[in-house]
Amino acid sequence: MKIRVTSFMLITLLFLNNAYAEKVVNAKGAELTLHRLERLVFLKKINESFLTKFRSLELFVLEPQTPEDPSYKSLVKEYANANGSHNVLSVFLDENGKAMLHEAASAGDAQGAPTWPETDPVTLSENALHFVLEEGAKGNPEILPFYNAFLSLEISQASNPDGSIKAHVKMVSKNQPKALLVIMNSDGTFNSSKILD
Amino acid sequence: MKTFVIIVTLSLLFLSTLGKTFAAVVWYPLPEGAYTFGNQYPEAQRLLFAFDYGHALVYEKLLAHRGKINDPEKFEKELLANILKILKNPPQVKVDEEDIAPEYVFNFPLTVNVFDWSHMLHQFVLDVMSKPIDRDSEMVTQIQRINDQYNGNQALRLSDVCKTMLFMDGHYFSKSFRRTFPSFNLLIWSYHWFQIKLYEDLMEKDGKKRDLLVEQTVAAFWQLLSDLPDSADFDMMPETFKVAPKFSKQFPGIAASFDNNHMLHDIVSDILTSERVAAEKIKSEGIRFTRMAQAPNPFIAVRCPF
Repeated sequence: MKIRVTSFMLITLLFLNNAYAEKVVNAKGAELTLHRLERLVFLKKINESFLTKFRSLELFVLEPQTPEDPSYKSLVKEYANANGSHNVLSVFLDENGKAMLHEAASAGDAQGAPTWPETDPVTLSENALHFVLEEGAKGNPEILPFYNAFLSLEISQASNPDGSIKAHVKMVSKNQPKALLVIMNSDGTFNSSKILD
Repeated sequence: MKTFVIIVTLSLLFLSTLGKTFAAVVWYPLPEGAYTFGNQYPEAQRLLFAFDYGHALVYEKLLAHRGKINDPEKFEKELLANILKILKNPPQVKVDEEDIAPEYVFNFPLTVNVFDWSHMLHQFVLDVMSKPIDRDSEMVTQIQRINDQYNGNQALRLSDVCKTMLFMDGHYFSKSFRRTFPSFNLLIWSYHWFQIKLYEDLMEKDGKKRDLLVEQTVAAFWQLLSDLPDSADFDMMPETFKVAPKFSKQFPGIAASFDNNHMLHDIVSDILTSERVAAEKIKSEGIRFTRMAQAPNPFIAVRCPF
């Protein structure tokens, strides 16, 4: 036990020594939450439905009182079940966006989640966030509010007149009253974006 | 008798060239002190040799069992056990991939050469950094010289421009490997972490502290593997700028090139695992994505994080 604790401390020290010092932007926190979600599903720590029936993510900026306290809390929801409640995954992140702990709450089978033909809705949302992260880093004024002050995203499925399926990832910012819609092709590649009126 | 010996010799020479459909990777002249990292840090060097062995073996197994893996968990467990044996008793020298992974070498001719060339860069940079030389000027000059030589080989160099993670994760086959073999994937990410953490350790100016840091990194690597998958708490592939910030700041092009190497390794794993890549397309996809890793523009990041 002593060896395990010592080893854990050693690893933690090594990682902390090299931690990326800058606090991550909100959009990065959201993206890293989705990476943790994937890991948890792949390792069968949480139900796969969090990946396949993913509906939304909300990010809360916390005020840590000690260095051990989380800086962000993410709330991931699946589509609602028959009673209108959701399976929920909470992920707590430190200021570098490293997941510290998670809690999964089950409310029953999600209803009405669309089937995605090529990739899962988490990957689609993640790739939409990549667009925001890249454009935000460029300083694109239209995207910056969603980069720095991201609050939430919600994914839905839409069909184009040509029959192709698109993912509509709607993002909300604290600093911009209008929402951003990022449209992704069903294979996970970027299609377009626009600010919603 | 003399004629017979000549015929046999020529026949053997001819036979030895069969199957080699690509030119050999030759770094000439070798940098001064090449392959001396292991004199200073034998355990770390042998682990690096073991990683190359392990990667090639995994690719070979994935190719050999493609479409026939009914129980991925069992397959992963057996593969992990085999690789852990190699890591615990690593080779003393770099193993020739052709000997242990002929199918992989045949199917990924360009990729194998690009990796070999890049692994030489890794090795020679470590060799320089393991020397007790001035870290501010002499080490930097020697590494830059090696990097110039690496970049001089346009046919095999990887891009030293930062790419976004979409290069690794934004394709129709992406994430197949980590989804199917999550523990094994974390082992590979632990390799990546170890490789880049060594560079950061070796940036330390004080020789004794440097040795201690390398020793700690070797210990940390074993800790990462101690209870897979939980012991390796990576959500994403470790990136050089995070694990080795001082090194990345000093050598941004090399850091980017290493990340591109690591991403390409993951891409090969995904190509080999994904059922969406048709068997007859493996070779062409391998070439296509290796070319992408070499080219500066595809998936270019707006800015490098370092």
